[in-house]
Amino acid sequence: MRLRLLSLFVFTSLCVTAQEIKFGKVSKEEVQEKFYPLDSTADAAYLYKYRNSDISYKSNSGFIVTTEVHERIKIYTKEGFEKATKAIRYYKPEKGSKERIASIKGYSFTMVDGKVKKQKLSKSSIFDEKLSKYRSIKKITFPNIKEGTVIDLEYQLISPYSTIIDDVDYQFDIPVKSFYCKIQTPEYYSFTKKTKGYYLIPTKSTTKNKSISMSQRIRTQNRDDWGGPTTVTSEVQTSKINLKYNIDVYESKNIPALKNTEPFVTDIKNYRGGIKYELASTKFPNSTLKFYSTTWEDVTKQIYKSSGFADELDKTGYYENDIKNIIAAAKNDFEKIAIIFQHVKKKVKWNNYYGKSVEKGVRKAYKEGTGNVAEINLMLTSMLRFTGLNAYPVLVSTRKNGIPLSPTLDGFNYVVTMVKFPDNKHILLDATEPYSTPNVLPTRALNWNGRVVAKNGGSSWVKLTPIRHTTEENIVIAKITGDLTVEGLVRNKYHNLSALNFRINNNHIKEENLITSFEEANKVEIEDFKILNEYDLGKPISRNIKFTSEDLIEEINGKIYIEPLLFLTQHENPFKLEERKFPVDFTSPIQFKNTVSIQIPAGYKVESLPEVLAIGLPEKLGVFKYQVTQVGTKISTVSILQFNKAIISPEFYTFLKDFYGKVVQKQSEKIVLVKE
Amino acid sequence: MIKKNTLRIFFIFLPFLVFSQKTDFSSLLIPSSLKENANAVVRSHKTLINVLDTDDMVISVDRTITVLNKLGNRKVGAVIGYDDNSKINKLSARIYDAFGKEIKKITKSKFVDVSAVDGETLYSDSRLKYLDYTPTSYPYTVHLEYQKKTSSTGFLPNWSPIEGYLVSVEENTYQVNIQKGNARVKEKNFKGYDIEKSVDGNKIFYAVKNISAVKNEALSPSLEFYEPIALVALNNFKTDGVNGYYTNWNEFGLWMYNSLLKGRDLIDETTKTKILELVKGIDDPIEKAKIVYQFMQDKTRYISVQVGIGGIQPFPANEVDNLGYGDCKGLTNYTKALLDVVGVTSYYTHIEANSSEPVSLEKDFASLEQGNHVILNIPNKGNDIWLECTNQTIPFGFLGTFTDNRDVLVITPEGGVIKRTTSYKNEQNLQATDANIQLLENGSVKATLKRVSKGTQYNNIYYVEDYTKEELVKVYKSNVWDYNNNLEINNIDLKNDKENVVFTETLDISIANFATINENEYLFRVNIFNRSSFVPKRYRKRKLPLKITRGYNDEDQYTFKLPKGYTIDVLPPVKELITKFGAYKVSFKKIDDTTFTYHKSILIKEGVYPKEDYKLYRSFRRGIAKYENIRIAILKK
Repeated sequence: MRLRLLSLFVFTSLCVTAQEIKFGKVSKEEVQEKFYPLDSTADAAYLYKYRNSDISYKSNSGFIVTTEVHERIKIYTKEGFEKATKAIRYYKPEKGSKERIASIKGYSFTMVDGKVKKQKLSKSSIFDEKLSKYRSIKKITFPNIKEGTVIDLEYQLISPYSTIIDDVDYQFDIPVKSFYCKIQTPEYYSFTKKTKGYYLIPTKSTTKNKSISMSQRIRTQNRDDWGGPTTVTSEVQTSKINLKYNIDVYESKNIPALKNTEPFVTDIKNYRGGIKYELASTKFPNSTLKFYSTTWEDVTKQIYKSSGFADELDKTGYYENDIKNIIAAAKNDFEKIAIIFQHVKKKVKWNNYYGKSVEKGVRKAYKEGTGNVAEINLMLTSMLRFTGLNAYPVLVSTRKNGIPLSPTLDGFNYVVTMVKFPDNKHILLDATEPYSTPNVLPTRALNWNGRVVAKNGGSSWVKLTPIRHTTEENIVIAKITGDLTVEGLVRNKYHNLSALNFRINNNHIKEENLITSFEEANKVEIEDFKILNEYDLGKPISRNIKFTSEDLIEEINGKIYIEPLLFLTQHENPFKLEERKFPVDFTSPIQFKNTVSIQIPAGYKVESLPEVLAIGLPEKLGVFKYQVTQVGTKISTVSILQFNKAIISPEFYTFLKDFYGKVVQKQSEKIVLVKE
Repeated sequence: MIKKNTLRIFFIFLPFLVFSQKTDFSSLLIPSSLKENANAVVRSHKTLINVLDTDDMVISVDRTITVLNKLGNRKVGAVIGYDDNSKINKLSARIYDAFGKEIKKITKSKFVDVSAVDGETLYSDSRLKYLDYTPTSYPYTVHLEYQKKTSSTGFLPNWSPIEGYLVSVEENTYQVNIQKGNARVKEKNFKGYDIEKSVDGNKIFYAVKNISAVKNEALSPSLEFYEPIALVALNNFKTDGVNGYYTNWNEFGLWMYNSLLKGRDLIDETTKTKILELVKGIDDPIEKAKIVYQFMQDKTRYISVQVGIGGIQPFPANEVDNLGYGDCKGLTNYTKALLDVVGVTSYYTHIEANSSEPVSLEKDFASLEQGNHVILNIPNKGNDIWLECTNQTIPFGFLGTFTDNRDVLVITPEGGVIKRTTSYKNEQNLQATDANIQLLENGSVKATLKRVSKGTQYNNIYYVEDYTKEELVKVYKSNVWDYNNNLEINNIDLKNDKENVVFTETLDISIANFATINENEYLFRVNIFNRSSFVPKRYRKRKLPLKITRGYNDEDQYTFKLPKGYTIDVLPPVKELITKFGAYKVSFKKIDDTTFTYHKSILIKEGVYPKEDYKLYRSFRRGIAKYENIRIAILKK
């Protein structure tokens, strides 16, 4: 009697959370609730989000991951109706082991005439669709959705890939009222866990003993004593093994939503809270400890050793002759680099696939003239090495892939090339982008740090975010004619990242269309238009425009009003919201420098000019300098707006918004001219 | 009879039935007239459609295209759709360099296979195979060959040799051989093109050569209004196992009604009882219809599911009733079934929905190809009412720009009838803004504003009704009045009068640092709340006609109260621009020493005008844009 009571007690204490919220049982209050109490702007909310992932042993298939999911979603508004359709992607290759989704069950609960009406999800509302050779998607849509409806969904995802635990995501575009996630992994597997985003739930880790039944089929050959035919019998032997499970629980209430509606964001998912799981090592009974990844050093080594990386670097035969020929004339290392960089860019075009290792191999990529990121940049590295330079591949996590927080294999998905010089200086190269230049990587690769892989597989960090400012420089020389039109010349110059982006965005566009869009954007008419150094990557790209405009001058009561920067004036503060919970990402330190000179018309004199202004952001994050001066009949304006860091953290958002507001206000101040 | 005559225009013996193979794949000798404005040149596109039986059709395509630059990549056209009723038998592509040397061969298994629908659609069996090729240099040429077999003959590919903007065509041929049955043909916009053709009952042939690339221009009619196109439809066909026959819209409607709609309008008794209860005591059919429509809107939501016969048969009404969702077909059929219950006649209606420009069904040519959406028609004694059933918030009888002003097919038990949907013309699309504005001494502004929107302008705004306060504020700050920095919305009151289709916004607004204050002057922009700064692009050589797709009317009336210590000196004179495209007028009126009004009116009329008028329209809009920015100065007393 005593014993039974005790076991009952243990049982209940373990299942507290599970019992609190039972699938298919929804309270009237939940269905009646009109808005999410903590965030009235929410269109929907997860009232409950439950997940239990367990790496369990199945006698016929070995270790598999079974993930049970229970989601209870409350829909508050019509905008939230889309949450009544759930899409679950899963891995279902044409060949090889498949994931599968099982036991989908669902109910919707809606108030009808003061009563809760419960409706079961029917099979006809579940669709399965093949997305590609590897992936499929299950789409589930709930019946009879109204404002106020609560839906309850339960399903299982069964994966034969026991070394992969999907990320524990706990922050979404809608709030979560109650979150519970349990990850159960047997002692044979060791995972590293790293948090991501700007919201944290601490891990509660415990262990538990479990026993699994392992079955083995034993085959025995029988030969009878008289030399007759051999018979084979087989029997299944089952043995029980006791092992320890590590259990991680993530539990929280009232997790706020994180939505993206703001400018200068890479990918909002990078800012949402969650935990990443990556296999670090395995140690099965009767086999040795096998490491996968624990430190960045290990991760790098593993990538280095895996096929499609270091072995590809060592192949040289396919290009040797070509390279020997083209670098024969090179006078120094820089010329060598320039020639080889150009050669790869010209010879092999990027097929838009990312990757930290090759797909078809460097040799084939070279021959076919197309390749993925790894093929192109490993090839580049190899060629540079071949000519005696200290070149290294650098593993990168692209902006979309997220910040490389935890040492994981998935942490990297891209490769660039680094050349080190004897004086310890280095340059970074990416030949996937035809217009990239040394040390100017395309935006997708500019994500914190990359891992430089040494010749022995050892590694170290290198900063990818540019140190040099990307600059946009505009010089305008204009005059106001007697009939109050503004005529002039403008010269725009772009350096570094902005030069790369300018070439990417404009080089393939016909001049006629470039003219039209410039006219449209700046309210001017163009008389002459010329872009210089479009393809001469060694020089900054620049654009010379001859323009006229009747729209830059206002005449009020006989006075003339002009904005000193003419069409370069920035009228809009991009930062409109009061608060921001994640960083502002400018991609690179950035500088805008405008110099404008305006000749005033005969018969007028200056009545007033905007006053000088110099303001800065805290910690030298940014600066704005503005000065309008008169020299004879000319008014000269210099405006410098500069951000010294690529990323500005949310604590400085209010300063930034205020700072930008002052920039806009200052630039909008007018020069006032009166008749003499 | 009439049909037969129109079909026998030409009677030329067809010289070939199989493709003559293009052998020279070099792109060096493309004439410059085909390269001008072109990102790609269709060297040769040959379509051969063999209709072997009403349920057996083979479509063969032999296509060679030269891509001249990066922007031409998307025109390669190596995308082949298929579904559960069709199968791609042959498929291969070869890539050639500029000199015509083969550089790559891609077999069927190397084409990428994906679902053909976007994320919006929940399910469809439509799939695509496409060529995933990274060009290594330009120009390059792709030679694509494929053959597709299908058991559905309801949809025949049209002949439309122009493949969009910035693509030229060296040669395009199209041939249909019908072994069994007859086809009908409708030719459009052939004038001005040198088209070789021969059409009889069971052999159709079109060919065209050397069409230069068309460059898109802003405010011009869509290509489909002037590109040559031939629509082809079989009289006898089968689609997803259902036989059909029609030669005109009436027969089409009859077939549709009998084969696809009939018997799918059953409604459960409980719902019947409920709906009858709701309309109890009401006699007016329109009032009844409003109640039913509201009931449907509250009960359902739109989910796109493209299954069932050719994606054209609705889900049964009781299934929609049970699930509470459906696509346009299911929801329309459901609404119709509910209206039947309460004794209101309504008809399922086929329509080509498209917001950018109304597109009509061809009155004199029936085909399944036409139409991509379904709405509901209530006859109402010659004053038709149209119901959009996929939108939970749209007012009863309001269509908006998605379905307005076009010829549609109303399907009655007696057959199909072409009718025209409601139009929303110029002055009907009104936005009237009234504001009381107090200018403050520190340069800030406080204002109360009432904005009323009707017609298509209602369509543009009414959805914000469901927005949360935060989202609304963002809409005003970032979209509506993005030119006003420091704008704060202190109070919002929205009224959606669905009965009269009028949306009213009442707002309390303040703007800090709005005016510029000098020693004795106070300068500010008068047009705070409706700046119409649109100026059409400048074209040095305009080639296409000007089309103003939608007309509208904005009326703004602001009453300004001056800050303390200032007085009105002179107000600007009346500004008026009157053109054939519309009219613009701004006038100021002094009420007393510290009060004046600003009145603005813009009327833009829809219409199509010759290309020469584009310049005039542009200067009209420029004139408006300039005056929309006007500032005035008031002086210290």
